Amino acid sequence: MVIDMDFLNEVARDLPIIRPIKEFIHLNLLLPYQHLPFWEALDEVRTRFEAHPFSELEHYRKKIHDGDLPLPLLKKKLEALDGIDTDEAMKFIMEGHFEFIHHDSRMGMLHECWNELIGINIIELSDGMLIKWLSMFLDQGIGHWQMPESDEKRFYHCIQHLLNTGLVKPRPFTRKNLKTLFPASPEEAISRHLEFLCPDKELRKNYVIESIMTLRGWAGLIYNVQKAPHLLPFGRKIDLIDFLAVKLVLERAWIEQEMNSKETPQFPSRTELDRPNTANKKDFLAFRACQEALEEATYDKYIQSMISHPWPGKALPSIQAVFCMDDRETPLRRHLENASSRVETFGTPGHFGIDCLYHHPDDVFPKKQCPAPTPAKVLLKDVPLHYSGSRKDGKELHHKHNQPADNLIYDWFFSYLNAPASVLKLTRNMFFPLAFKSLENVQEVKLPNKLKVLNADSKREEKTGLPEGYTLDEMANLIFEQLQLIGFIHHFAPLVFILGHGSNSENNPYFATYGCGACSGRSGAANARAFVEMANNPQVRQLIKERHNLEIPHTTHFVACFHDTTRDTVEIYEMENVPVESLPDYHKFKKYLSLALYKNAKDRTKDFKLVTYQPVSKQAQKEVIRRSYSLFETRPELGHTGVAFSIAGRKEMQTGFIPGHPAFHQSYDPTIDPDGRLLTTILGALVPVCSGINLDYFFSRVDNLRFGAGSKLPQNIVGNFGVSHGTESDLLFGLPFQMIDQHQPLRLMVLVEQEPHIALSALQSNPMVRQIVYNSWLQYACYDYKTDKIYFFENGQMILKEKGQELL
Amino acid sequence: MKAIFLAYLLPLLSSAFLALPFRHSEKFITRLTITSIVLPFLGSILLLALGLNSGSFPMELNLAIVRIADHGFPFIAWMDRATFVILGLTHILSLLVVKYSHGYLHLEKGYQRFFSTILFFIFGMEMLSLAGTMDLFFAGWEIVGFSSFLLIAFYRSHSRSVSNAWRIYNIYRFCDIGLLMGAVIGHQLWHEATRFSVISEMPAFALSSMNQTALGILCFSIICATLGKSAQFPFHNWPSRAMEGPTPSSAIFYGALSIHAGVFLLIRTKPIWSQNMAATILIGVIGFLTLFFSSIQRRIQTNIKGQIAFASTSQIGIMFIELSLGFTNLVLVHLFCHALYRCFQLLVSPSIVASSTSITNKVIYARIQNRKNWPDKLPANWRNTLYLLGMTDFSMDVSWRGFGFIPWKPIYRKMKLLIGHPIIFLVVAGVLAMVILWSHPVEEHILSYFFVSLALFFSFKSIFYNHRPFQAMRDFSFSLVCWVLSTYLLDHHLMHSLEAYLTPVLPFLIIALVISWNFRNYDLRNFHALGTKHTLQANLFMICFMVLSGMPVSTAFVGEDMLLEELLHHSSVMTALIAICLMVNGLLFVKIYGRLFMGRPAIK
Repeated sequence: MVIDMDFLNEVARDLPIIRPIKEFIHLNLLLPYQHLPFWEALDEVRTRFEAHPFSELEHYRKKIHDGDLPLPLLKKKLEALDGIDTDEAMKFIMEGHFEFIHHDSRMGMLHECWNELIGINIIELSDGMLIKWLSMFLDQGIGHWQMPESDEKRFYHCIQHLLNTGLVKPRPFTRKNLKTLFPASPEEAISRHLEFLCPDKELRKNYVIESIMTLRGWAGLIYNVQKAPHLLPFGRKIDLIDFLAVKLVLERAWIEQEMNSKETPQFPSRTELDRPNTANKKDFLAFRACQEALEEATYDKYIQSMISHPWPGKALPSIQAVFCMDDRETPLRRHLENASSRVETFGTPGHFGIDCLYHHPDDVFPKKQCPAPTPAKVLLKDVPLHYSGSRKDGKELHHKHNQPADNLIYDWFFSYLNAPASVLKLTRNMFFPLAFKSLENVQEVKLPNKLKVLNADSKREEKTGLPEGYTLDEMANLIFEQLQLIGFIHHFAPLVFILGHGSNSENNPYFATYGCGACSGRSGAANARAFVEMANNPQVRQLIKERHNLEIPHTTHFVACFHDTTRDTVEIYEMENVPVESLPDYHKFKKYLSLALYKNAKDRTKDFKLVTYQPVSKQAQKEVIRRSYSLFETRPELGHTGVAFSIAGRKEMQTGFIPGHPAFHQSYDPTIDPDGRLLTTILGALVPVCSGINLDYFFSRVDNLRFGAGSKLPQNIVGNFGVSHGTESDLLFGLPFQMIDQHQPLRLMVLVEQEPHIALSALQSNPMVRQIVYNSWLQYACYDYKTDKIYFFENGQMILKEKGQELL
Repeated sequence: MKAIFLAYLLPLLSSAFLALPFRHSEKFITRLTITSIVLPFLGSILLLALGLNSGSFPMELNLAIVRIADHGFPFIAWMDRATFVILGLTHILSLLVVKYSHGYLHLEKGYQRFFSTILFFIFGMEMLSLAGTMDLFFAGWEIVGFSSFLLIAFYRSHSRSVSNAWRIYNIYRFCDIGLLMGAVIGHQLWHEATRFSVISEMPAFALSSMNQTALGILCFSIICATLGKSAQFPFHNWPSRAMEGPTPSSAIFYGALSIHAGVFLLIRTKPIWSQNMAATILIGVIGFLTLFFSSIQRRIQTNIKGQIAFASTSQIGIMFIELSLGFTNLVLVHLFCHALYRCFQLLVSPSIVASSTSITNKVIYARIQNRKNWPDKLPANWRNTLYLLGMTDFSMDVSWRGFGFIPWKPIYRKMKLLIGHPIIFLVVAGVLAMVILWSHPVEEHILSYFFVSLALFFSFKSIFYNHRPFQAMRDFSFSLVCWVLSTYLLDHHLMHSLEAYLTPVLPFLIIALVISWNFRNYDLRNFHALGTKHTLQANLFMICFMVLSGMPVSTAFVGEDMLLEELLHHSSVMTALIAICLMVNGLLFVKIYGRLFMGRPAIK
């Protein structure tokens, strides 16, 4: 039997999708199981990973107690399930005791046999070494001294070279055993050592799977780096074969070192390994019913609230603003619209249709600024207006000494020199965080720069092979497409604000999770600026008018802004370009905006538990800003906590609101989309991104131990690309406990405003969307604006659900 | 003035209060903690002012004497410059860290436990810095070590954290033998508890007129003790393993306070070891070796906390060198600054990712690209060798492992028959001993050596060989009985101190035996995580452990101290053996506690 890349690819299906931590992208943590229906996948996963993919029993009991989970509905759900007795299950749910014990995932059965034979935890020894070596090899700038030749050789050969050339061989290697341990190629090493480690041919595949799965995190990272090497700026050559080969070499070396005789362990038989699923099916079904009932009740509540809050209607807007559809922007939009009847807002994915790589002048490499599955189509460069060589900015100064200095003598001096400053900084940050804001801005774009968007002759950049901007034609198409998508083609106010969003927080390795999901976890400011640059171009407007018969009046001016979702502040770019006649409107908008931001901050502060006082607006904003500057704040913001709805439709649709469950709001006008073409485009971006966010939170919350990253407190940064618990643990994946502890796990409901047959046909053309919806990884529903009825997607059809009908 | 010292008890009381099984709000816990730090801090300022004012600085204060069986255990405080540096550092940093943790640990499950442990640690540090005698110093030292264990294993369900904590506690215990021996030898040299005031004011010639061998052993015992706590060669690897608890606890222990305790001990005992040329040189050499090894490892580390850990040990290596060269005041300044600096670095360590959003930032990218390392100038072979050794931690950990575990195994295997049936073994040994005694009225102390080696045998067996809790506890009891018997045989007058030791120990021994009987079927090679289910038993066992292993929480500590001191009059070898026995027995409890009540069960 050969262990080749094909087999490893198959194994890699179960590996978590880990990217370097700065590239954090919310993904369905069970993405490899998305081809299965949701409940089947859960059933599969709970035995495979020994996970409990539901909330605790107490959570559901509390919901029943609070009336959020009506008992008749629960009964109905239980009755609909096969293989479970309703009364028994009800008794279990109400009074039963359920405890899920997680076992140590570091060890597999076959490895355990070796341990028992030798009497020492061999795997812990070899894994301890492997983890260190991997982190040293892959390091992205934390270590002062790079592993020799790590940028040329692949991992296996690099280690081999080091061991061969080293004058002293560390335990367990000796001059003698190196030759046999390290054959020329890693493939050879794998087959040679497997023969020794697992003499039973039948079990070899299991042994390999176990070996990889004991270090799931690292293997996951390596697999992803292997697929997309650009993820690591300092390129490294490594794949799963290297990883497996070195792991087996280490295991064998340690076993031979510690073994007294030539015994081989008694491996269990194949049948024992492939034990059928013995976990209690009944518990699973009971939990499933609870979850289903809770979801249905919440969806219903949302629809009720939508009906009971009709859209008041609006005067012609004098100010319009386009936001990201992100659930954190939704309340801000509501506050803004409440502030004045002349403000109109729209929601659309925060990259504003611009699939680009963005190159900041301070950066060496461009960064991707579009949804994760979409490839970048252009490269946008920021050109500094007055270039001043390499800038030393505040970031550099602020954090210069948070790492021991390169040189020992410097380190010695610094420990004298920096001691007072360190205490001062700490004290200041802890007691007066607002008085001294010495913080770096991770995601803001520093001006004055000029974004280069126009690229008339579609010149291509050499390294990336992408055009450096758009031609006028492309611009016109893009702008029209985007405006049409959100139904923004009727009335243009004199000022249109385009708000990208991002987040700044201190001492937070997970800062990228708070960024804009549509911009690969970065800030959407650059995209907003690019959009404005294009939309303000008179030639582009002319082309739009000629091609698409849409006239954007010359009095209309677009303005780019950046919303910091942690601090609730907005930065407005290039306000000097605002025409004089629009200035009154501009100032009005600023007033409304600051009012809305205060209100939003106030709402958010209520959710943070340490804040006990009823915050006055101003205080609330101080509080949220403090959170972003505090070194000790593990919850700078609550991110997408609680997100459960995604609404695509006109303003009339977006009035529903349930506390604790924010919604994504995408603007969409069904009346200009009779064939569902626009809806298809919208769903193509909305479904993967939103369900990715929702399911990332869902699984991290239900079983933080298996799918999440555990507590943030002991986490340690490894090589600038990952986090681990302590110094030599597996890489952590998923979301940390602090991000999800307030989350109430529900699957996403996507509600679109469209006729049922169009809503259904819009699912078909995109296979990914179809897969997610058909396998019920989310609930899909549509509101037929013509007949005023609501349809739910069930088993491939849209089923009518009477509006206003009490479900039970 | 003595009344001020009551303030220093506040952390202990608050810690005990928080350890009780009543849950309090986060706000209350933080306020209590801050009060329990601020009051002693004010106390220290007052003490300093009073001392400076009265001109009697540095000063010694006789606080109290605990009398047990016509033997006094004095509580003496000694305050000099170093005391106030360490005290001030302790209070300032713990205030900052507590404030930090208040927000950082918000909604964390072990919130109360964390603060309770931190307070216990602060009490240990206060005791250590104010201690006027070596014995009190040892008490504080033990508390620091134990709270360190508790915080490394803060995430009880993480098996790796627990085993790392256990490993580090092993090193602590091993090195603590040194300090225990030091305290005991001091007793013999000065015919009372080793008072730092006496040492510091002792003229050089007075030392040279003392027993030189004993002095030499004392020096090396002290050095041995500092190696563990201050993580010096060959133990300099453990701080990187210790970064398992929440970041603030790592910061205060391995960045700031605990890790400097060894340096502080050296400053305290400088008059003793500076008289001994070999010891002085040894300190310098240890410092240099640590500096060499950990500066290479520091360069190679690619996780930020590990890097800071090695940076800390290398700086402490420098402090050792400075000490051996005689720059005590410089060391004090260095220690103070270094503690503040490292504490800060650890606290902000998570921000390294954000600050290098950044590797792609031109400036930082260039800086990383242009990093210079002196080993790069060496020939490739040499360079690779250094890197290789650095990345395997110079095989230090595994070598120690090999030393501690492997040679014993074949020996145990061959003695399987005897080990398997300890009762038979005991009976046979007893009968043999009786026969020998009866036929040859030999000197009794030969018999006591026999028993002490038996005790050692049982101690090691209980820790390395026994896989069932009750078996291990049973062998622990045998070991206890054996060494008690041997001391009794050596000199019947030792009964007094034995009494002082045994009175608190026996009831707790019975409780521990009962608890281990309850869990007799669990295998100690695996983790069982019973702590959540059997909280009461877990906590009881913890208390038993603290009493039985001679933690300064009961009179057993005083008894142990007295016993060893009196033993030393009879035989130094015997004292050393019993000290080893005591230390090993202490380890056993940590092992049982960790395996039974912590961790996560393995797949079975």
